[in-house]
Amino acid sequence: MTDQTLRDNTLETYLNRMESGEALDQMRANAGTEDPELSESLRLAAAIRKLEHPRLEARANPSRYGESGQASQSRWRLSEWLLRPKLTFASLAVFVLFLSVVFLLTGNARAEKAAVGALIGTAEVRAGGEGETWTALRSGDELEAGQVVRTGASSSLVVRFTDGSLTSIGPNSEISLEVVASSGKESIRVILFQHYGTTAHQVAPAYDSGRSFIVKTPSGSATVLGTTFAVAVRPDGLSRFDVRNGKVKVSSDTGQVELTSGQATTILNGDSPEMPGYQFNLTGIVEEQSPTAWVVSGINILLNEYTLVTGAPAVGDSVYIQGRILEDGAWLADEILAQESEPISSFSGIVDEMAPGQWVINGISIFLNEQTVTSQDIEVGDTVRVNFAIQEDHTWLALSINKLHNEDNDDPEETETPEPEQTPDPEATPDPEDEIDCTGANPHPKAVKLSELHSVTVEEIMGWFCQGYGFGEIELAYGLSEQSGTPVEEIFALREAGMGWGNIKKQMEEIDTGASEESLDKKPDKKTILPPGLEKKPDNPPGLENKPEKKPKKEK
Amino acid sequence: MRHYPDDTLIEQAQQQDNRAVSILYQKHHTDVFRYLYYLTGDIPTAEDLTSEVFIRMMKALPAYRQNGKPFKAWLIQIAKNLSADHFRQESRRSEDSLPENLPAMHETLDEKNQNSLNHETLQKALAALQDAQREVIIMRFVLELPLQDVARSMGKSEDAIKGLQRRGLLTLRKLLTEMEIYYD
Repeated sequence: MTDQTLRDNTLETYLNRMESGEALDQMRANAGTEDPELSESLRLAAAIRKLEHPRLEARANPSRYGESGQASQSRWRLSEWLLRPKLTFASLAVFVLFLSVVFLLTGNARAEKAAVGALIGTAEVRAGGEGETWTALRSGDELEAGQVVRTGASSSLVVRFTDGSLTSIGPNSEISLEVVASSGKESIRVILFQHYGTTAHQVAPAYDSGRSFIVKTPSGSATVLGTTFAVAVRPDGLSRFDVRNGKVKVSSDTGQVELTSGQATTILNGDSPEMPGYQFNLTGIVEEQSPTAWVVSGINILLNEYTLVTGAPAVGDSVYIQGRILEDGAWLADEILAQESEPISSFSGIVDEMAPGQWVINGISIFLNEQTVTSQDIEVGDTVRVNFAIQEDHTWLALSINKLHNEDNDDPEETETPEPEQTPDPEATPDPEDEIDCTGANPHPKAVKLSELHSVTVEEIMGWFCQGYGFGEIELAYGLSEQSGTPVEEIFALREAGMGWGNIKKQMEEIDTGASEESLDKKPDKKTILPPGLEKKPDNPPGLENKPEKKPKKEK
Repeated sequence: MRHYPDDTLIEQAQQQDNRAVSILYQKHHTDVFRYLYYLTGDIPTAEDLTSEVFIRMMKALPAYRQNGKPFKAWLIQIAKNLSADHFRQESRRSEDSLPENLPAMHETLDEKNQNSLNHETLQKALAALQDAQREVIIMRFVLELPLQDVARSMGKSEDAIKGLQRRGLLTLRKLLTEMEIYYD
């Protein structure tokens, strides 16, 4: 039994004793010796019970609605209720007070707009109500709280907030913007609800109270404190949260975990989040397959009943695997896709040993050569992300090893409500060189060439490289940025949300003609001809139609 | 009022006994109203929704089967659905209209009530809780429902409800402290 469960049960025991009439003072004295929090919780519970709660005494009740029992529309007369002596406030004053407290609790919040940045394919927006119609989005459009955004297949868009934070919405995804507000001079408060699909977030660090960035899903929520992270909501109800840099609290109704840089967790509806594990992305060739384990490019990969396998990969096929490294060192796949992908893999973990030419990270030996780029101040015990390529002899060659940073400014007793932090200048855009320093003493010659070609610093180029992008990708992104006028970080954000470079390139090259206005609705507008594949909004996004067959739990 | 068990009243009400319907209403309308008041924070809205709950109760009663779930839990579920519909409709309201036209808070609050825990200050603090925590606090400590009934009403395990109530009380305490609201 965990400590949390013990506390839950102890509180309930004392509450039962309170309900059966035991003296509160005596109980609190006993409880206080066990746990001061318990004593205070009992005091509050008792105070709530003692309150005089409002009552409603109606003029009529449903039994007078007719002999047949058929109810008719009836409403209590407001004027009569207002004259009730037990309440001292008019309903309007109460409503105003309610709004006042909302205003107070949100720290004088005022509504803010967000902007649509880079947009690929088809995206639509509607107001919050179910009956509202969808309208096409374009790059440059403004978004506000209460709106719902969705994307079509092969579509993606970037939402930019006033503090420079970015949210990338991947293909076949839908999110609601529940709160988009500023709180104070420079901080921002954002609450998103991700109904389904994938998103990636680059959240600007916060430096003052009131700033919060929360992503909710049907099964849990993530509270962000200045980081880069991604959220995926699957049709089977599983939500996956992974963090590149920073710290994220992930909670459900039944539990909470904290993810630090490089970690990921999953939550299935009704359950607590899984224990955090360092995440990995692996591209390789399937060599062996069994119901509970595959061998991919020499690596043992475990599967469980929640592993999502799409595309029916077979031995000899190229696959892309996203997963977590468990406490016992096993590599567990969350998702396996049969596809041709970039040959670069990555994983995160703790540095165990550092020897010339060979390091051990999370118990895994990895080789370094003169081309390997590393952060300058890595030490044993640091958390790092490794981009690597699997050699023909199945050894792993590190392409880059960069140190990950966590922010240690949280109260360990904090609840799901985010704690106040500081916020940066809202005009600033998160700069990769501020987050990751992996240039090294001898910058890679390709990075030098690209920096000269695109008039940026070598550090900026290396920043993208150390986030896992190849130099070819970096060159492509900067070229597209200059061609289309789209900020390069938004192009990388689209990639982060799952868009292929082919699609990004095609759309950026057509950026001058504007985004498609074709609707994603089943019934087309009279003036719109829907492209193939968009006549019907799929129940399951492409690639995720097949719920994985049940697989036995892995045996440890 | 003589105490009639709900199952007896339900059987009679299903046979179109208006008196049984009336007693069901008298037994449960206060709790339903309080639940809706603490969810919506607005008395007229809670009044309207309360009446709607019992209208829907009457429409659904002929097909109602207890199935182990307390009758009050069923009413609370209707109330919850109605309040969710209400909030969905209200969500169209622009946030720009929220704070900028408000009178100063101290001009509208009764000085005596400003810093003490009462149903108004409690409702304001509850509004800042997560939905599930707020529901558990309302059902456990305002309506004083047993843990088992709350679990059935919310479709969660009893362990989950215990966790929600402890974390809900913890968060609520911190909120009340920040709002400088005190209680005995």
